[in-house]
Amino acid sequence: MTPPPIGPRVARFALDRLGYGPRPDAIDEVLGRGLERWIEDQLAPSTDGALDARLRPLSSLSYTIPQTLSRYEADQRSIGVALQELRTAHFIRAVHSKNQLEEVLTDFWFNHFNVYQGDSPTRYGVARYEMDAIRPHVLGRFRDLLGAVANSWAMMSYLDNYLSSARAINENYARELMELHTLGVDGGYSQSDVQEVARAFTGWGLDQRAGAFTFRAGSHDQAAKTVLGQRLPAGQGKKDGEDVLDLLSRHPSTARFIATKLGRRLVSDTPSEAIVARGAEAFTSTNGDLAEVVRAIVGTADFWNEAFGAGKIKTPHEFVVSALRAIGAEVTSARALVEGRGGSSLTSMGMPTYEALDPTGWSDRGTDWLPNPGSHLARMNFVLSLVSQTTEGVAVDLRTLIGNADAADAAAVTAIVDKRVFGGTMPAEVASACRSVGSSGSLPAGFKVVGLALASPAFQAR
Amino acid sequence: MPFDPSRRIFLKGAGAAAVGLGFAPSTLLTRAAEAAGVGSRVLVQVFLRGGADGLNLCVPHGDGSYYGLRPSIALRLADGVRDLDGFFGLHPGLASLRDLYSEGLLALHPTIGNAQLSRSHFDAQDFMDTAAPGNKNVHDGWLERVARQVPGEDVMQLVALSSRTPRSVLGSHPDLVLQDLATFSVRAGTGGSAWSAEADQLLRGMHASGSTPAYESGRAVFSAIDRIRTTPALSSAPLNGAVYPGGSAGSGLRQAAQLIRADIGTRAIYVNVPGAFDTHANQLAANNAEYPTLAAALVAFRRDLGSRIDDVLLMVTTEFGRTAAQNGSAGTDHGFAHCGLFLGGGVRGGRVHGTWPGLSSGSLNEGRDLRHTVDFRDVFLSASRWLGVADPGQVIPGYAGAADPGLFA
Repeated sequence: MTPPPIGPRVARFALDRLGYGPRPDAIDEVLGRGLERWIEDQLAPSTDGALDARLRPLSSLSYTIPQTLSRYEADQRSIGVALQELRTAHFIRAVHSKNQLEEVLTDFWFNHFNVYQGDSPTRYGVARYEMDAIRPHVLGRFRDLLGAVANSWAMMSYLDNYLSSARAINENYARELMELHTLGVDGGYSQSDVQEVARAFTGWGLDQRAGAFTFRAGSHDQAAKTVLGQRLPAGQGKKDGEDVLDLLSRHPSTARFIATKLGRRLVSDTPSEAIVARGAEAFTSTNGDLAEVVRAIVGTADFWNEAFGAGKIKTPHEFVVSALRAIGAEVTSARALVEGRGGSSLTSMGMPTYEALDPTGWSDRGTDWLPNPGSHLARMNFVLSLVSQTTEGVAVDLRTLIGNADAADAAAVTAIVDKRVFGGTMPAEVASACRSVGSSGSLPAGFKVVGLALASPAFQAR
Repeated sequence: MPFDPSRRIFLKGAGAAAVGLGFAPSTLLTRAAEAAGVGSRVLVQVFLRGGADGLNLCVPHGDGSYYGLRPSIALRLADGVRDLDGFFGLHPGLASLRDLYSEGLLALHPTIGNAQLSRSHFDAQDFMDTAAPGNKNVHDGWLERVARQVPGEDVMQLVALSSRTPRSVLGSHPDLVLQDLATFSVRAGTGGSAWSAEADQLLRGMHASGSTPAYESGRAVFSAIDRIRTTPALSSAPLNGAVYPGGSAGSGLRQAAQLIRADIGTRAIYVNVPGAFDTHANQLAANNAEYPTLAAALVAFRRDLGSRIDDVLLMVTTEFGRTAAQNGSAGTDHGFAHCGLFLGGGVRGGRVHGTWPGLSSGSLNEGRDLRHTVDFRDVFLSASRWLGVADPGQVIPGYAGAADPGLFA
């Protein structure tokens, strides 16, 4: 599939689906680079020195789990600071990284393998989980990703596997491994498989003093197991669990499940059979190469047809990040974005970052988020506050978006917003409301135009 | 049948007579229901997300097997379990509900379920919310179907007090989903109130037509803003000295009471309670953290409503109960039958309903879970009839209903 002829609309679509939407210069950059080359750039992330510089003040990002634990012992407040820095890093990366697809996929895979930061001892390992288990593999092999997750402090703790032993089985991880991480709930496993997988993972534990994964042979169920009809011989030890991960990552249900979920995130709430089939085929034929699965989905006609449809409703997280990018904001703290008072934070929108309680993570279906009057009003109030430059930790210089245009000229600013944020697709009723803002009050008309455009129904979809 | 104050028996008797005409045309039935005074009835569903364990909520202290199955997490009367009827007792953290039980306003049913409910949180919650277990082609919510059976298309008829839209209210009827009634208006930061008013007007104009979800959702925002602004009762303080705890249950039920007292046509309210109910490990500590807050919220709700509690039926539900035996981590894994808690004038209170299947190894489902004795869909159907919906047959797709569980009157 050759992408459609590139124009501002298609460039904006690519930025919206393979990233968090356009920053003020991004549509022009994609047009200049060429769509296919821009996509290849995204599939092969490169060093981003400007991003690294922005992240440098967040010192806790470099801590190992043992360091996080020992700092906590010295001062219990340190974990709160570290989790705030993790959130801030999440927003700085999403808003500023040139490797947008990598950020979208890191968010996607974290959510796919969700852990809850409020859970203990999970929270001491959440930062390393994202940085070491998830991020390095989002364009790599699924089996490597699955293995890194299974061996991680955060997942081991969140789904209780570290508590499971031959004498006292805990089947939480075993069930979610099949239902949520690999096969899908209808992927063809039984309660007996859940119990057998739980037995296979007995002995996988945490050394809480060392702050690391450990295998406890004495807690492992050494007898043979049968998983999905495959026999795991007796006495294999830790290899039992690795064999289960091999089996699950090669299973056709996993290929379809992953393709469906990626299709839902990147394309549509209801991805077409063509998208799922192409994605699953790529998954299987490349032995789970996740970059190839994305490439296959992006290569379908159904993907590009979406550029000319009504769009997919943004999740609150996508909405907030895309608004920050559209306005050219500089983020230095995520605190107000996530938990600020006044009913316009991600908490009020129902999606506080890193706080999805359930192993299912957040829904990737737009229609699960809107209609919802409370959450929708919080979205509107968020962007209206953003343009009045009152969001703590976020610096907004409207010149980044409107350049040398007259900030008092509503019509001129409306035209710029249409071009640089909407790729020329701003609906007539939105443009006409934007052009008609008054000049009263302390806020220049141009600021109001941007607030209204971002609060408009057109900006709720991507 | 337990003792009920006579006035409530009279009201309930009239409502029951009206809905007894199940074969009558729906318009006649609606009129009969209105004549019987059920037009002001309100159904409140409180959903404990995570699969709350029923056996440590409604404790079967009279069943010896319970103690054998849970050597370190079973609760005894000596631990503070409040006895209800000589066989069951309330978790110590719920002890304050004992007075509501004595008053005849509270009932429990410890064995609610459905054979097709899954052990997956996600599927089981969806199946409860759609009331279509095993059928993934039903997407709209059961409360949404209830709301469609109530005359009118008003956004206030069905309110979900939740930051996320629960599937139970998804569908074509306009519903209000929000966390906080008190701050529900366009607020444009420091640009001043004139700018907020201007933004409100211009955003209304933008959303006036357009049929995609973003436009529809925007219109619902503004109709809700208008309704809330013109209803001062929605900001009234709790009555009768009621004090609500913080958290989702407290803030949800405080606002549910405001909606009920405001009399603006709200007929169904959903209160989402995410919490530490998925107790795979250290269950005692988790329950001790959650239950006192839940009980305090229910007690405050009852006090706040005064005699209006007669028009209310509140159901506390969860997606599944948990394994009968404790697991290796002083917790319990995903099970089957769950315990429902029912509060209000619509409830046949002061008793634990249902038959007890027992916890001996032979009586457990798949050798591991408490069996259910009533289908949750029959509970939902019965609640819909109590509410006086025009055609209860439309509430649960493809299910005619078994015997009425007799929870409500």
